[in-house]
Amino acid sequence: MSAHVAGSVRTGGIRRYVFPALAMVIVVVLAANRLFRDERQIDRAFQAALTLGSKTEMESAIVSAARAAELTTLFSTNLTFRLGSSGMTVRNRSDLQTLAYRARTYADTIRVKSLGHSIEIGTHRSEARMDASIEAVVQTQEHVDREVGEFRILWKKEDGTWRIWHVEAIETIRRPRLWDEWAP
Amino acid sequence: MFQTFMNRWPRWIAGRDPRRTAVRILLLAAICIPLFRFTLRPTIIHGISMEPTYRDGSLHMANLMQFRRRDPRRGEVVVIRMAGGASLYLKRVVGLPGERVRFQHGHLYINGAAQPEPYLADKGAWLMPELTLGLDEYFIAGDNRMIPMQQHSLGVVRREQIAGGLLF
Repeated sequence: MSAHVAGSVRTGGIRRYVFPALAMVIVVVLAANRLFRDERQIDRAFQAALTLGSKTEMESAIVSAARAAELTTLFSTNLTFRLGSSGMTVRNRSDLQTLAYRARTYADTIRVKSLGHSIEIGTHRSEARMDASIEAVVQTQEHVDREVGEFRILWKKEDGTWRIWHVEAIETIRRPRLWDEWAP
Repeated sequence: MFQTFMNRWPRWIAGRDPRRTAVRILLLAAICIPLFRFTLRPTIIHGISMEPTYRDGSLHMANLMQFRRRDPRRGEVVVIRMAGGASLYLKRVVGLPGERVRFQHGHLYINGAAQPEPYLADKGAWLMPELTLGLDEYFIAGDNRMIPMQQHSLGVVRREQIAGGLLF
């Protein structure tokens, strides 16, 4: 009871600070919202790519094809993949769609998730660079494969939409050449 | 108004004195956010590359300040930031800047001399031709040498990529 009375007495004093503080918080939130709008859009597109790259249950060939096609909409029409030692090359949406479709029909489940990513927006806010660590767990009837890869992903704003136009594998730990790779 | 607002919360959340509780929460956040973002990082091990020293799934604390004032030494466990910055590699330093590193039938050779590696359970059979590290480079590897070298994340990192060590 006494605490309540004490609170009531001070209410006027607090109000003097609460409303300006609240207004300041709103201004900061709105400014941050505007300032980081591109980052959020890229982040959403990236999460969508990870979701569309995943497969949680058995699906028909038609669904696999539809998901693979949907995935390509997140990419620019002129895209390049450089995936290091795997020698995999993807030069357009059609290549990517084929690759995604094959992966979906091969695996029972695919779980793709980000282990962390950073986004750097270019000075003109029309290009962006993302460094990401991505984990993929692919399960087939015979085995489960877990792979972690590090990638540099370049984004481009096309008609107001952020799309991926370049993906390349990067190595934080530079692998040495081993004896079996050394041999002619 | 603040008091009235806080009085609506159950007492087990807001405490006996809601204002003091709010201050405590803010103070705790002001301490914990920088502490766990820039200094100590709770870390769960994924994978078996550091076994038997560090088990898959075990919880540890990375100390991101460990190598602010000095450079890592051979045999020390370090954490390296992966792309994106949120995840870390956990590896052991086996080669220091400027050294020549080689693996032959599981034995580590530095500048041509075999090095003891007491932290290993099994030396394995790794083979790697000699490479010379740059003046800013370290050679790092995991403790589980039973994993074939081709499937193991090992190699050269620059000093700036080493984010810290392990507290425990």
